[in-house]
Amino acid sequence: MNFGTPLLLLIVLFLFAVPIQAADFEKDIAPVLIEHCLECHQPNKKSGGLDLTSFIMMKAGGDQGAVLVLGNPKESLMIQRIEAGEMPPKEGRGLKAVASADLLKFKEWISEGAKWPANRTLGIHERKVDLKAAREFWSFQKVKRPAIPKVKDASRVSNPIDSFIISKLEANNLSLAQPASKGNLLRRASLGIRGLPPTLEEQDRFLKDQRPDSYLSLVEQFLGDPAHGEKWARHWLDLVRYADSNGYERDAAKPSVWKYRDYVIAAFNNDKPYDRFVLEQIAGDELPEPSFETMVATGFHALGTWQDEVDPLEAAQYRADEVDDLIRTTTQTFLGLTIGCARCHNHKFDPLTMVDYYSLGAILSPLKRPNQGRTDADIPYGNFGKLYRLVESSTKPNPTHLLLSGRASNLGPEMKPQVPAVLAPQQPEFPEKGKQTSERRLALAQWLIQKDNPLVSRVIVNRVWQQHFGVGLVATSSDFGQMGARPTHPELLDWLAHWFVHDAKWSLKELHRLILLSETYRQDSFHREAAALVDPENKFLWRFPYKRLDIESIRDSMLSVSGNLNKSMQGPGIFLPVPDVVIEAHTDKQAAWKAESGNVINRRTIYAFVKRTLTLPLLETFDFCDTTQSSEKRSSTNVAPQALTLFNSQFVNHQAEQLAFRLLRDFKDDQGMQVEMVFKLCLARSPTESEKAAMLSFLQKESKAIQMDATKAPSNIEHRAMVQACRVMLNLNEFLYPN
Amino acid sequence: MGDLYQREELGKALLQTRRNFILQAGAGFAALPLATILGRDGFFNSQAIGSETSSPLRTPAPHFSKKAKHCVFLFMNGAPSQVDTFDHKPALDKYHGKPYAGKTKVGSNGRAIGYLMRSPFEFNRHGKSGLEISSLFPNTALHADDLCVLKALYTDTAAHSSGCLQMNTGSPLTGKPSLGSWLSYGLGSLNESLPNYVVMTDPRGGPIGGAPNWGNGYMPAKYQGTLFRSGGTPLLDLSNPMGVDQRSQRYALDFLNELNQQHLQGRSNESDLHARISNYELAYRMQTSATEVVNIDNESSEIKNMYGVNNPLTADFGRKCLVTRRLIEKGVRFIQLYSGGGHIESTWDGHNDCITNHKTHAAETDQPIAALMMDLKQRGLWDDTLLVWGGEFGRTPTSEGVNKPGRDHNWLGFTMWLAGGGVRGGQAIGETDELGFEGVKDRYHVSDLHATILHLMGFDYRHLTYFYNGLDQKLTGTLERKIITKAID
Repeated sequence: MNFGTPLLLLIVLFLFAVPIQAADFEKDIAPVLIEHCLECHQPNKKSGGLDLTSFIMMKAGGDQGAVLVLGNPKESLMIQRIEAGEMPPKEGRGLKAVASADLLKFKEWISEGAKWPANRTLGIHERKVDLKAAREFWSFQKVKRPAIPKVKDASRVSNPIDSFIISKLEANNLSLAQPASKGNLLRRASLGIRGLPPTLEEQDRFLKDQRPDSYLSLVEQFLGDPAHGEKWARHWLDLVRYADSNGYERDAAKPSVWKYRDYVIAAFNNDKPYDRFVLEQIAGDELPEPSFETMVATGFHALGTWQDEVDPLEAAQYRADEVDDLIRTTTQTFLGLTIGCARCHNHKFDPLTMVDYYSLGAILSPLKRPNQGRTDADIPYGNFGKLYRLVESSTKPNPTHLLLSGRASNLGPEMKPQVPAVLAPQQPEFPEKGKQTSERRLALAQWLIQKDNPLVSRVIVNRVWQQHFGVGLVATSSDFGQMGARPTHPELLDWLAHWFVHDAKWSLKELHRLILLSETYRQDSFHREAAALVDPENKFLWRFPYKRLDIESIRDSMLSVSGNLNKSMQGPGIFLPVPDVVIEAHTDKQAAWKAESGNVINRRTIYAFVKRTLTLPLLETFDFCDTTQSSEKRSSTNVAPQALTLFNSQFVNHQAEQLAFRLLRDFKDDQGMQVEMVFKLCLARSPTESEKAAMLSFLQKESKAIQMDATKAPSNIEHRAMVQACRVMLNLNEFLYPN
Repeated sequence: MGDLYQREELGKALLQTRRNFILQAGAGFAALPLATILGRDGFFNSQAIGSETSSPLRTPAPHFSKKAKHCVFLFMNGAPSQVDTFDHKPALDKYHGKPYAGKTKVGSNGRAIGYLMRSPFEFNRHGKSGLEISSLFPNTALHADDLCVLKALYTDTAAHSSGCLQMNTGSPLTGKPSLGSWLSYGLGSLNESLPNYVVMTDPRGGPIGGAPNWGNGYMPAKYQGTLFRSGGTPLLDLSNPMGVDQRSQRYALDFLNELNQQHLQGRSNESDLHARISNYELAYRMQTSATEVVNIDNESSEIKNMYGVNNPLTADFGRKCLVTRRLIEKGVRFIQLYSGGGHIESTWDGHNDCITNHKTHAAETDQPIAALMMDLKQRGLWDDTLLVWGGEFGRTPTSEGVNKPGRDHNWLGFTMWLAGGGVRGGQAIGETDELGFEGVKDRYHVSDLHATILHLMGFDYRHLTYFYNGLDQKLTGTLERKIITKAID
């Protein structure tokens, strides 16, 4: 091989190219430092004690001494390390080696005395993202409606959902399970749509209804029940970090925050189109015709924690933390993106930059809390009453700055309102100034609900899917980015997203209806060995997923079957009774929690006051969400304290007593009927013969033992024995895991 | 293994992972030995003794071999004053009563900085090391050669709620997993019939900021701290419901099991159902084991006296310390004891009269803490147990007014101590300025302390991570931290 020619070329390059074109700092030097060095050599990290963001710091060198010898690139340690291939390090950071042409320029720059423009500080926010390549990522592409696939066995296709699911099953030599029994389907749909079990009357009616569309009318009935909004609003409240108090030392109540909760319930019950729902929450105050309702909706921004005691020295940083909460909640909830990482650093995995992050900050940071000192305040709205929200008080807000390394003390360049660049080849128009407010949020909201926004529709249909099937088509329902899961059924997801916007006109009830009426939803949930071998995680839905109820559905079901459920809606949060040990461990003990009594404590769990420094043990034990940040999904843990809580707690045992009372009252002197009915109430089915026998024998044995144990004449033996049987019913696996 | 679930749950010790393991191994759940099932679905759902063979639960393996197995955090709630305890400042005698005119801005919420105030407590050198300790801690001082006093710690906030949260979770913002959660997550459980992370609050109330101080944040609920009482019924819902005796409890459990077994016949592959069935038996055994662990009747009177259980002043904290030793013997990983609860003077928060305040709280805790140290040593548990003493920050060397011997909050320089497993005792690390306002030498941030605690417990703070919200989350945040290497033996 002849080495002559390249070597000659190199010499020629060295002789001519370098002296002819002098190195330009902004063009030749800054990009090299930014792309290859600043990841580690910046004030936040200072690896090796070295900071390369300014000339002073570069000149100062690092732990190994000077890195730069002016006029002498050969003697400069930084050049030596780069040429030795040691910098940037090969492992870990994904940094590319410095190209030889860039290196030549760099050496030339040092030879010429390393001229650095005055006051120029480099920042890692200047790192470039290849947007064109980034937009190729699946979730950033426009939603297109795919063709509905053909399936071999069309007998189980009830709507397009089934076509997509069955086609994938068939491709894997799998099939849907048998249709679930009428009784199982009834309980599943009732809990799934309303979070409550079917009543005895509903069971009776549906099981006797032989019309072909009996299930359709059942679904309609459930979707029309106000209980539907109460069930689904809770899922939304998880996403928007809802709580009734602010957290921290005083943990004071957020005054009228419950009106936001009631707004969400009503929105779901009235089937408010999702685009409108988004618009009202983000910019309900900036709409051309705002109303009390849209103002309440804007309370969305105000739901986060609030530290009312911030030292003046910390105030700027705390303010940055508050804005961070607004940015993260908004992007995760509506876009399914985790942009929070870009606060200090361009996102490591997604094409989301610090500029994107702080541009969103420019949209949201004009919002301020209307507190008076440490007192959190409501805002009056005409004659309509008070409401709780953040406010914008200026039509042209103060400038927002990028914060270098996320620190409020380290101001970077000024930021204009913008949406993340990767999602918007063309930026929406943000007004120079608005009428009452900046109207930047209005522009953001309108951009979100454009029909071709690639994420908003995909994210919401996936969230609804997740609640029905336990796992979303995208398993990470608030992370549609690189680190998120890929869709198991990309075509189905896109079909649903497109259909939801164009056919269903953003109607969530239409979406529920479509899902509920699919054969995929209506199949049974039993394990099949052969299918499990192929698809152990049931990703392809060869059965209806078998999953535990959430704690709200567990508690509300207990209240429902005991006959205690108080169905009244709306109003301030209820302080449910709390065990002493929890009160004792609170700073303010009794003052923190004035438990209510009477019938209000039997209201649905969504109306329970959520205090950030004192979580109800029943909720905490059963995986209630973290109320400080947007929660995409509840955990479903399975630990011994849950057994203690369900078996021994005052609440459950009280419901058992009431249920026993109800049975003995309504089915007096007919033990067979009592046993029949307790199964119907709790499990929406009759007991099997052996279950019936087991319960009758338990009742007999328990009654006898109570009689024997008694020191004096026992009373209420029948009731006491039945209480124990009911306690067991409320603890059954099947009670928590519907078929 | 399904990336779907691993990505979704983001943690490691997952039920789903276990389920996948079982399915992959081709074994029905019922084929697993009961002990294994119990170990996995135990209180904090991690390896039980003897079940580590082929455990599919991937708690992160410790990174270092030499490590403590248990950690006891003696939380002096309200913030003890460094200049009255371990940070002797003779200059304060000289300037006593003078208004402070320096530049250091401490104190809370813009309150006036006040007048310099000497400590009324005598400082003496103790042990071979000659460590300086004030007269507030005559008993702790007997263990001077075991204490590693950190004199120049600093934090980011001067508010109690944020300060407690920062000390407990590494962040002044509410909602992050606490140190105990990280250690439970990292170390797993040694005893399935007791909680792995125990919190005992003060009878006067809990710390400011409430339950988030022992919260699990974005981790699953099984990693949260469990409130524990040091006597009677230690755990919530541990006793039978009112009017239900042991016989009736057993009958009901048997009947529950009978119906669940019948139901299982069509569902034998559902590991969650098996786990729930096991949990009821485990809960039943916990009714005994948890009650036993707080029953100190069989402790000798010598031991009880050593802890001060019979002296009303020390009874509460003494009992907690004694129960702490019993919990350690049973394998519990992380125990946090609070001295002080509620507000101001019922905690170490001596705004009005720091002198009386500290006399009281020190007297309540000094003997019990020294007893715990003694007891751990005599039982061979010393090297396995890391002790951490301190509050959320320190106090100013100034008083809040003339003739008002109260001290305000100081977040720029304060003292804590470490002792026990892996700690080099008999030394003080770091210095504050002449007056005790601000650290000037070997300053360490609270997150540096956390990194050091993790190190002593066997973990590299950079690698004990939990994936959440697009990021490998750490107790110590995203910045690089300094391990307090001098503190490590």
